[in-house]
Amino acid sequence: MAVSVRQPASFCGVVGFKPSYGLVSRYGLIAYACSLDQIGPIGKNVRDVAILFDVIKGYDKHDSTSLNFDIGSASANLFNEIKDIRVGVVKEFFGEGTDERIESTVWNAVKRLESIGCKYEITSLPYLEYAIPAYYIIAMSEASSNLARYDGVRYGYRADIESDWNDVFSKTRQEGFGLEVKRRILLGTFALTAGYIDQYYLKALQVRKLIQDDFKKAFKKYDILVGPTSPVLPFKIGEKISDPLEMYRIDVDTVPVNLAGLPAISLPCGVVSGLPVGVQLIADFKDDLKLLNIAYKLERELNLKLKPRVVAGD
Amino acid sequence: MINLSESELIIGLECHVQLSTLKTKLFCSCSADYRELEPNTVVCPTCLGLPGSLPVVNKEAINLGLKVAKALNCEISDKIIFFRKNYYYPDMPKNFQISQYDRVGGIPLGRDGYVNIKTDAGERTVRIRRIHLEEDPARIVYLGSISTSPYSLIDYNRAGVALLEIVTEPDLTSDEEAHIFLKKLRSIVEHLGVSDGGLQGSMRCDVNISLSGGKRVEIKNISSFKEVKKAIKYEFLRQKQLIKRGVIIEQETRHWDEVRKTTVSMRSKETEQDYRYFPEPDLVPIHISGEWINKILANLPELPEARKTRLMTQYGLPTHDAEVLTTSKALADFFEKAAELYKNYKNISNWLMGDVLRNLNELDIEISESKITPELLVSMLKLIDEGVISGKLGKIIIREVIQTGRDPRILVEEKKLIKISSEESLNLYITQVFQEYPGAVKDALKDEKAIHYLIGQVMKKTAGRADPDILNKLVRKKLAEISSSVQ
Amino acid sequence: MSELISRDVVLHVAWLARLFLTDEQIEAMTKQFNEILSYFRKLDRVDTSNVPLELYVTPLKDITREDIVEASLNPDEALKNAPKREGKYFKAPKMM
Ligand SMILES: [Zn+2]
Repeated sequence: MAVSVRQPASFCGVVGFKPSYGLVSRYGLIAYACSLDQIGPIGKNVRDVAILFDVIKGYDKHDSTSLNFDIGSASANLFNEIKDIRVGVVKEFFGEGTDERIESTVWNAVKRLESIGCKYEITSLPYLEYAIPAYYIIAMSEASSNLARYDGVRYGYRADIESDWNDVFSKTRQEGFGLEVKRRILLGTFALTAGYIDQYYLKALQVRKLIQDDFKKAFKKYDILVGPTSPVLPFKIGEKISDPLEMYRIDVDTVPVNLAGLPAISLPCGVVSGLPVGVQLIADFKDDLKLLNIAYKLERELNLKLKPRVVAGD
Repeated sequence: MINLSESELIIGLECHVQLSTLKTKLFCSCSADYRELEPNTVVCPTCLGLPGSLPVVNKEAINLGLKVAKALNCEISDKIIFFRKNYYYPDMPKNFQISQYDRVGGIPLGRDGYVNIKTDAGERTVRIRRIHLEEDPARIVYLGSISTSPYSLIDYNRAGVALLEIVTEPDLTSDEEAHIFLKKLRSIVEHLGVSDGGLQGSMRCDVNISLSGGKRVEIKNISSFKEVKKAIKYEFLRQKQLIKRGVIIEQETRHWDEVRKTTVSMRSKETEQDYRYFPEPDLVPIHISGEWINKILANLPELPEARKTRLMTQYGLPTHDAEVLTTSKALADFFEKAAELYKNYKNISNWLMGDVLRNLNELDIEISESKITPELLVSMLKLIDEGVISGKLGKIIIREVIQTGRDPRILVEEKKLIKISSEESLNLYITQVFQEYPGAVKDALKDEKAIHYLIGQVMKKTAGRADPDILNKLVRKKLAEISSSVQ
Repeated sequence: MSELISRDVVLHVAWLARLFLTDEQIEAMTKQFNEILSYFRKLDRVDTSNVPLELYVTPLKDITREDIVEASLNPDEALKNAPKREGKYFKAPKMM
């Protein structure tokens, strides 16, 4: 899934990096939402992530959305100097529902950016407010189609009944998919249905365009944008699953860059009640090297010595 | 042919033309040459729809699509965008088909074209609504027919082969017209070199059919143009019967059961509305530049219309001959090859349009499947010209040439089919026949018809070898002798 | 909250998706549909009347390949994961 690099990294106190869309081939990646999915490395630190990124990035003729563009070595670039970096602190990333403790932890990190030669100011990307619905509508629509292939004819699970195609197909899906997957398939199917597609899927595409334009405008003024990776602290497994909407809202800070295809990185910036907090840095399309370089400098500046804390389960 | 006076029939066609001259499939590099292969031998992760696989467009498929769009007088869009058409069927490896769409921001490769066809009622224009590229489904093998088979077996070799869907407006009014249109379409795509209509299943059709007042019924899965005629006829009669009994025809999709030659209602109730088309996110738009179009135009080969005109001027053929010969590229090619070897062009045309086509029809094969070659036909025409065999004999041996591909000269020698023109030998046969049919001889004294009967009997006895002119003369001479002796 | 989506629409969508739900599940799903969709309808507030419909975010275009044959899978590999097969065919349920 699209947000399953930065957010888990943030929750686990490690570094998660989502490259520009098209820099890492999706060939071989089991698709959830093709236009949003992007493979990215998770690692202990920025350097590990950059090294891994150097290995997996590059043009692939099997992926039509793969960028035929050599951005150079990310790990070597980490050691280059940075100067006169303009940082935009995105107001919308500190919006309603953001844990105050996260807010202040991230702000501390933002202030430390000054020590590594960055100048920051607060900025606004008004359409980010609409990122969650736009993202989920597009993701669910694409997923509803991507998951149709699991019919148990060529591979995978097949319901053990003797009946016709329609029955076997339905039963296979019924038994093979979990509840949340089914809910997303249903919502995605709905969003594409004639009669509703204008209000949902097509509307989401238009809003996606506005969000992309917001970012384009911002990157005329700033080298990177900053905010928290997640509005909430890590929660227990299964804790949010009962309220899907609440669960979707947690992605508020991570999904905008997926809509715009931009590179973004989450790195640990502090601890609240024993739980890690991540700061997210976002760069313009194909500015992945610059992003990793700044993240590397910030990581050294913050110099956190996070250690895993083993907690007994309930 | 359906009698139109009884009920007004409205037919629209969705033709699926395989771009069979391509080397690879539409979205993967598997060979597109899947015929006569063991099942599931030209498949890869992409055309099997394996998780993680992705499509990449075959550029040449777009080239061929553009050629067809131009030849069918279509407007060409300035970009190609692929859409997903979502429906579930095991012949679709991903349970969606990558196709194109003309709504929600989509645009087909070509639109608003037309084809002129010649029917008994005169020239007619069939409008082309749109042309688009899409992937071919897999082949499903049934035990018996689709409605009775206890399971289905899937061979994905065909899955992903490039198809061009050509959709007409509902401008056709009979099975015969539909057939003429399809033949013309086939001739065009063959002249363009984009498809070989002679290949099994390379041209298939869905038919939309309605009787005046009734709703539109779609018949899917018609695997050849010949079957289209049968399906239309069947469906017409079915609907007419229902209307007669006061039943209202509902809009539905039916399946052509090729084995039982009937249409059966499909349980799935999906309609166009339910396909949830959306832009294929695994592909990117492809722009069609003016330069690209100009290149297509510059390399457009001679099309059937132009060829017809040229056959008339170059070989002095009448319009009708040129029309018939260009209904098939293979036939027109055959004619022109023969014309290089033999200068009586009208004679070649007569034989092709007459005895050759009649025999092919009877044998239910195409000229490309038959064994006759232009050289063999010319060899036979020369035998006739040289007086070695009669035209009548030619008609007999042509069938054998079509079936065996053996040289007419050898056939003639082997069968001792040399024409009998000696008066002495012919008189022996005539005497024999006159003895066997005294009644006919008596009639023949007054009745021209009976003379032909007697001549026919002699022909039969000589296995067609009698020289017709001499035989005619001798029979009449003999009758005159009898007549004078009676008086 | 006024109902955006009726139970019948959810039923139709479930049929389209071939995910058949029990009566209880339909009730629950209708409720969730309405909650989630009314949140999604937040997008109604965005004036998109002057936003061109752009289907793609990626700046890439004109990505095609040449018509050159590459090796296919060997048939055993192709059929290896099939839950049911018969000879060299994948075996699927009957169609009717
Ligand atoms: Zn393939």
